[in-house]
Amino acid sequence: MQNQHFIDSEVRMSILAKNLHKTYKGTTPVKVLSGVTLEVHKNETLAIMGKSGEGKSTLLHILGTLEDFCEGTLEVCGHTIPSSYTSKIRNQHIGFIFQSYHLLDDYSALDNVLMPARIQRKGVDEKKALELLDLVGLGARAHFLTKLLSGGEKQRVAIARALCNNPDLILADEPSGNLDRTNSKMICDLLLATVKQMGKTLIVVTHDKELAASCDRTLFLNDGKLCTS
Amino acid sequence: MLFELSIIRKYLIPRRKQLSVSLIGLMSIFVIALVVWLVLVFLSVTEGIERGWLDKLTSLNAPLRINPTKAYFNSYYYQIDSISWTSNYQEKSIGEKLVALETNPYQPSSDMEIPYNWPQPEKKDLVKEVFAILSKNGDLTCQDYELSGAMMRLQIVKDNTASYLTQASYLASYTENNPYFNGLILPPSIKDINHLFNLASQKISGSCLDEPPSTSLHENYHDRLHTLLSHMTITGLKPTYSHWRIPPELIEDNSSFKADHNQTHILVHDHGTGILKKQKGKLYFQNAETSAPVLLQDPITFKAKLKPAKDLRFLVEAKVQNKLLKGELPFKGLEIASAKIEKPLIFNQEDTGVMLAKSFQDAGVKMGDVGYLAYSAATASSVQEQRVPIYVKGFYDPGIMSVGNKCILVPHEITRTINQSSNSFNFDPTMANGIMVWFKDLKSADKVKADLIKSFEEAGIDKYWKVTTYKEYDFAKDLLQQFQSDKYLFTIVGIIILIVACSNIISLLIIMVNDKKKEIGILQAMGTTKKSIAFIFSSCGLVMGVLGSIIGIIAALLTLHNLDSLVHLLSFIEGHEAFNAAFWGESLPNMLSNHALLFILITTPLISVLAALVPAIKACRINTSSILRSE
Repeated sequence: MQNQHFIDSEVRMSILAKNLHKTYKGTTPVKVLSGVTLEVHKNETLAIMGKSGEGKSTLLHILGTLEDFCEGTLEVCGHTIPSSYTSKIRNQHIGFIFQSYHLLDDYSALDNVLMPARIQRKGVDEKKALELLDLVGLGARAHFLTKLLSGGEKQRVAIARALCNNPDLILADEPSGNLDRTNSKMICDLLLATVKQMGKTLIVVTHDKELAASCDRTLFLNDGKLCTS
Repeated sequence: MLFELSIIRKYLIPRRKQLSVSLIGLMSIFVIALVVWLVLVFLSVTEGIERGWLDKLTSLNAPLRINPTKAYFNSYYYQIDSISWTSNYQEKSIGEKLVALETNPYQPSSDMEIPYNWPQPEKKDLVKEVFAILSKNGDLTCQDYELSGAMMRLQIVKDNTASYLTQASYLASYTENNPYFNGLILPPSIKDINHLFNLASQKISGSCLDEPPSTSLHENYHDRLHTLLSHMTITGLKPTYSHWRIPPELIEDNSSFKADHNQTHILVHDHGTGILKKQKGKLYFQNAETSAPVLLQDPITFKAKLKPAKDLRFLVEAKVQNKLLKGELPFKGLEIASAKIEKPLIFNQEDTGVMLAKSFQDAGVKMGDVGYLAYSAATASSVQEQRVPIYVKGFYDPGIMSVGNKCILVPHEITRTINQSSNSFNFDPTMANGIMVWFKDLKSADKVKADLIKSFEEAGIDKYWKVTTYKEYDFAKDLLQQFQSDKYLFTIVGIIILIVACSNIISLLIIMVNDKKKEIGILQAMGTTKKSIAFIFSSCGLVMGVLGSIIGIIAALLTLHNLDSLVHLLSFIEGHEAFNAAFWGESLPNMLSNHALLFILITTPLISVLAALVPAIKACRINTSSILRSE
């Protein structure tokens, strides 16, 4: 194990990206990112906005080590990417919240929340998972199969799951995209409140101006580059 | 690992929601189980048959033989008997050398001069030295043997008439020291026992010029019968013909039977319209006294016990129409229906009984038949036929020896007599006489051989003896090679059908990977490594392979346990014997082969995992990002 990778108490930056490029190869190559440079401090909340198809989700997936980039350098929570430990970095340092929730349908809410802990193999703290479900207001439905929950409830389970392994960085891809206005507001408030309360870094890709306004900083992705307006 | 196991469990438990995947999964397990069952049963049965054949081969011919080499026959030790008066100027066989009082019988004062080109006398007794070495190893049993040849002629007695069977035969001396010999001897059949009893109760008719010496045959049969009876107990008798005449003394007083009166006799049967009754020792039919013979329509079997007297009378008991028939009967007109063989026949070296291969039974030969062995003996002026009288003492199972059916086991004296005077069969002298060595573990044959050769070398007698194991016997070599190549062939065929069966796993897991793409993506987003994903899908294949194997093994065990019933069922369906007893044996072997089990336990999981590797690699290569974005 690389010591430098996992001694992150002194790391101040959650994300340190320089000049990231991403092009989808194919018969007609599509250039999505062309020199994205981004610094996100610990405990900071950042909203990334932009038109559909600009590459916001791609950027978020690159930052979450789910996708490779073509050029540039990237450090996530002090770890240089690409690394041979990306799965472990994802498991221990990053929590994901997706627009389509992406829960395991045949498992209960509790099992879904516990899944990152089970993958980590460090012993499963069921009590903590129940506390997280309480925190998102789903303590009473902990043992419900997630396929039986409503969209809002599913997203709340996803928030609890993202926090399970106590990660430093939460990456949310349009967390309220599939919800109605009431639920959307509730989820955004919950997400921000929880992140602030637990002292996590949040990068959220959103079209929701209200949510973006609630974040510490908002950046816009335009023509493959990030800009402040 | 717990995480992966929980996912494997989730994926493998059949669900209604994933009906097609579940059905394909169950089918895959079923097909693997079927193939495992087939391979196990087939390999177990063939290995059992091979083992049986090998046992018979090595029981009869010993797993190891020591034969004299040309150096032995050229040695002073062997040749000196031919010029020694004390040896009657005849070379001695190994058996005779073993019991000879002197190693060097030569008397310079009385015997002729030793030819100048003869070798120097050996320092050791070559035969006794070999037996001394063999006796040092407590696990070995040994005996000298001698082969010969003669024309056998047997008189086959059937229904008081005699026919003759003539066969040129190999003769092999009995090896009574052979610990496995009794296993080769077939128990006397009811037909044999009846035949011996018939021979004992009457003199043979149908004499002709060529009849073998048969003086005092009658008495001999009584003696043989006595020997036979000391080895078995007769428990049941039945009449030899239908409509058996009931002796009136068997009918108890005051017992009555349903019967019909015909003109000449009274027929006792269940649907009789009249009543036959015995009162005060007299028979009455419909209350009128009768002296007509009483015949029984239905077959009857008596419980029987031999009376301790020489004239073959039995105490019998049976029920007819629920009434007891009880009394004493002579053997005439009856035959044995059942007998308990208590111990195998013991061989008496002094008599002339021979053991024939079981195929002679098909020719109508039965125990007790008499005959002779004819061989030609050369005298100074002519070649004469000489005969040794013999009788059939029993039958043995020669296994699959090519000459087995022509080989007769005879007392040592017969082979010796024929070999000394005969010139009708020219055997290779290095093979016709030798020492057979038996030991328990056939696999140790090569080691026993190496140890013996080493001991012979140390004793300085190695050039006089050639040690061969059963693998090198001329008559068995081809067969053993055939066994070996059959085994390889079966193994290859087994592997191929296992591969075909396990290939179902590939299709199933590929469907499963496509079905679980989203789940794989989610798990990877949460930090599951590619290794874990590969492990999950490989293990699914492994679990299916192992499950199929377990079911197949249990099914094979059940099948082997009930093999005889299944064979009977098959024979019943086919309308004839499903398996040829001459090739497969009386009953198919039903022991699960350890080799086959090991083969299945190694290959099935291995092939299953290999089959699962393709979908496992496919699962690893899933693009997490595109999967998570596609919805």
